[in-house]
Amino acid sequence: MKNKLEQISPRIMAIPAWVFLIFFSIVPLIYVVSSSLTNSTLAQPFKDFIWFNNYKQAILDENFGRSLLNTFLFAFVVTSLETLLGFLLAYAVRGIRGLSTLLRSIALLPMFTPPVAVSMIWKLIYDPNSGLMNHYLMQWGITKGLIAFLGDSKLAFPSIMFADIWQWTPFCFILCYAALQALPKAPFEAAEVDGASGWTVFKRLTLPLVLPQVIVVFLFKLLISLKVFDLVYMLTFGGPGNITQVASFYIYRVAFKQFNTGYAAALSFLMLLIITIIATLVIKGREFFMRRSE
Amino acid sequence: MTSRNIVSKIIGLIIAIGFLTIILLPIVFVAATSLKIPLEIRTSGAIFPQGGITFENWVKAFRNVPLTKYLFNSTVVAISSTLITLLIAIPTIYTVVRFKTGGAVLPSLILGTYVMPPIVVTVPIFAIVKTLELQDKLVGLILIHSMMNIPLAFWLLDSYIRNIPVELEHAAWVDGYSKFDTLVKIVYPLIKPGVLSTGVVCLIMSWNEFLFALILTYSDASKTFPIGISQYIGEHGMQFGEMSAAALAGIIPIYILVFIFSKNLVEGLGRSGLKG
Amino acid sequence: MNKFLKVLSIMVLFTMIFTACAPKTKAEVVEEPTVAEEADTNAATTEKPLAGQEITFLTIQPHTVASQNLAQWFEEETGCKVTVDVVPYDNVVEKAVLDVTSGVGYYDVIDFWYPGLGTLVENGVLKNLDEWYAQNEAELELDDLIVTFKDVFTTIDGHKYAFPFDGDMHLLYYNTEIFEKYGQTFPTTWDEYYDTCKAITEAGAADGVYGCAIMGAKSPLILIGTYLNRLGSYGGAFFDADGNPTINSPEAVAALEALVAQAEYALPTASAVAFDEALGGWFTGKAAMVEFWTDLPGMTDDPESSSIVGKWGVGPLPMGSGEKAKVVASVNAGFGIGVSAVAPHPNAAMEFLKFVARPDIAARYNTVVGGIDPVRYSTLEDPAYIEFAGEDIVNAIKTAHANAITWPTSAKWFELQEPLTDNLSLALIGEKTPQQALDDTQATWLQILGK
Repeated sequence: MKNKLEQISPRIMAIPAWVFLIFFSIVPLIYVVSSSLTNSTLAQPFKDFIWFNNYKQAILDENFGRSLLNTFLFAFVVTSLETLLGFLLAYAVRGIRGLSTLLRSIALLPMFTPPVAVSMIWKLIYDPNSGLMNHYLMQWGITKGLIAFLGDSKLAFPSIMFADIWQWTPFCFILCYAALQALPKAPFEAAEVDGASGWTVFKRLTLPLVLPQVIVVFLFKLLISLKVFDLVYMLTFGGPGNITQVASFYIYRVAFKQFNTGYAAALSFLMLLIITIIATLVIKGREFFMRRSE
Repeated sequence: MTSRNIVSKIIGLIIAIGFLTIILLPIVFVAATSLKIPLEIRTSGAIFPQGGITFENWVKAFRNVPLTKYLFNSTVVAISSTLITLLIAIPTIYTVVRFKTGGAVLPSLILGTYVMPPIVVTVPIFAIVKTLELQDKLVGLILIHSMMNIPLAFWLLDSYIRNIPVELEHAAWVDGYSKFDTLVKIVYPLIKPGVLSTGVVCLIMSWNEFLFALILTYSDASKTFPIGISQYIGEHGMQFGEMSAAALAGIIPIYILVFIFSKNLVEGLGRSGLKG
Repeated sequence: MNKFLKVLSIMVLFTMIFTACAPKTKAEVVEEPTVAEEADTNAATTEKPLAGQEITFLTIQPHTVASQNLAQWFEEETGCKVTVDVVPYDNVVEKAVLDVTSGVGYYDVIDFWYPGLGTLVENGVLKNLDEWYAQNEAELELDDLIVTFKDVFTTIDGHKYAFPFDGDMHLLYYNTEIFEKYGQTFPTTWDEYYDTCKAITEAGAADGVYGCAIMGAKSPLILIGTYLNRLGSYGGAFFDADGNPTINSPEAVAALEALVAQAEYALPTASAVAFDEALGGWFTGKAAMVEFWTDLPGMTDDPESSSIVGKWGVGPLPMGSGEKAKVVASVNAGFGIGVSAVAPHPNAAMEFLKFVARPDIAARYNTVVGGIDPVRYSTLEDPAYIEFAGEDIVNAIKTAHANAITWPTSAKWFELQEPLTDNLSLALIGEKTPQQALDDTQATWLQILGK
């Protein structure tokens, strides 16, 4: 008896996880797929079976297409900049031991600030009347007249991105710093003996050795960025127009402002499909670069 | 030390100081704003208060919304959900890594859950929570946050477990330890630093979580801090001073936590990006 | 694990500190000693009818103070405790629908934005009040209700679901100091408004003074309200008499063109200015004109939040141009109050509704700072209210009621207002021409309505 129990104990250990997954991941997914084929509203789930009408509507829905594009644009731009900046920063301070420890502790702050508070902070900074930006831009004579960063069709999206970059660059910095610290010492010592220039060492040694891991950091953050919701909800509510409307936010509007949950389910499923494809590529990519880094 | 080294150190120093300034400036600005006189906030965006300092905003923030209740709710949800996450995640990761339990399905399901944007499952989770009659209760939010954090814990702890030499466990089995005992007595002590940093990350993620809390909480009995401040508008429209004070009240505990554990967090995060 | 204990104790400590810091009282309640004393003497002599009962009242942020006063008065009179739950003004319908459809059933009484009435009824959120109206007809003095709100805020398909609570309308306010400085006079048409706004902005923008603040932020209540101020005065409407959408009529397009042109000279940037930004610009003397609700004077004359005390004037919204042009006062915002269909304490909730509906109570809650405007003719004649609001405003409100226009309240409206908001916002930032934006809206509306 005891032996039998012992044999299946690995499986027992996984039971709680399975229960959780079934309740909060598998059942919800089945729910999403089935309600996407109906005309559900929040008050009347699974009302009228309408086959694929929601999907037909979704494919023709300009707003949805635009919001998906916005999501990818956002994720790609912020992730690239954050990884690049994070890496350059890590490289610049790598030699200064005491300072970089302090720096890393402080770098933890933005990423662990509640996104809602981050949005509030940036809303205040961008505000035309009370904001830091307008005050100093005007005082230093860089701009004349007030700028509504979040209401301008050209500035709104970059402003949201900037808030995200403030929050997440430190995260990329910490990961890149760890990657740089983990590099083998021997090749660098050899290079110094050979008298290679700093640039050559960077180009020939550092970059090739560390690049796979930097890419891993990039991919990890990319997946986080695709879920963006809070910043948009708090800063612009998708506006002006639909310029900053990302997919998560659009689905939220359809489901909880228009109460059209059937259509929201169809949109959700399509979004999930696209993200799964990207994620699969990402995970394959991650494994590939992981192997190269070992 | 060569001159080139000194130059690169000075450049590094300058960059580091610039980096620090950019990180801290917004936080300092909000802290300063919370101490400004309300009318000054409406007219000027200078960093530091020009017309004297007042604690009025802090008093009003705590008086106008039940901020204490929100902070209490957030604390309960964050601590409970973190404990549940760890209790479920540690055995699962161990068994998946060591015994390949669940084959390829279980790990990819868990990672899939991580990739999934929360908005996708809000409507069904809304329905499930309703069926279980857990709406507007902290328990409901605790379960959802645990679920949300399991994949994250998986990601963060994975490399710690992989790094344990399997020989240690074999030795334990030979000594008559059951697999479960091995996990508790041999493996757990070895991955404790990882568990610690994972726990802190989960704690903070739950504290910060917005979307589920937005949809699953209704009354002050269950609203968490992010929902509380997102709905914070004064009696006469938006009051940045009061909002800043309210936001800081929720940020400060997190920052203290981060400072206490900064070493573990830096290490834990660093590893998660590097390996498995 | 030591560290965990440390953290736990720090968190507990924090919670304790916060608890200690927080004064236990809710927001201050405006003192009215005589009335309170009366209530006290009542309490001493008679048993309060609802003693020991409790209800929950869902209300919006701008109504916080008024709602808390109502709660206190009701408790004094009946002994029933009222918990006031506050949400942002544009979330209230969503919150009420979620409360009922999720099965939480937390709220008893709901203060809702009236264009959501159809949605609320469709989702079974509001209790049918036909019987209640019939039973209490005499006490409610229904003829005293301002005709603009009487049915629109309360009735769907001939059935009553609510009672008018807050009769918000827009008027045009101007800053007398700025007008004087730049030699401007109060505009009576939108064309004049444009010229005035342009003249002030061109001369004053360098000093941070703008001719007008236009609320164009992407929220239905805000943006559609601003648009309706123009749509109505150019003689356009959302629907024709048969309920067919007419959102791309020539008048509607002219109205949007006017809005887009004006926005160019407005406080930056119209597309990001909501309630709060407009107030900020107005209170600090940065905006010379603002279209706003009738409760603005009280706030403007409060030296704690405003630096332009006494330096303002008010008039009706300007007129459009073209043959259908007229003077309008659009009922943007405006709130009804109803009882939740799943109210946990329906009896006490109905009593509370009756209490709020009483003419003497209406006169009282209208004289409390807190964003509530009269729904009864008698309040407009009430000396206490006239003194509180100022004669200018009361006269302006009376004139405005002759020209009032309201929003649709059908069950489909919440679905319809989202594409309209998007398209108006797109036109405002120049992504679409007004014609194109409204044509697109019309097409989407036809699709949603299945026409």
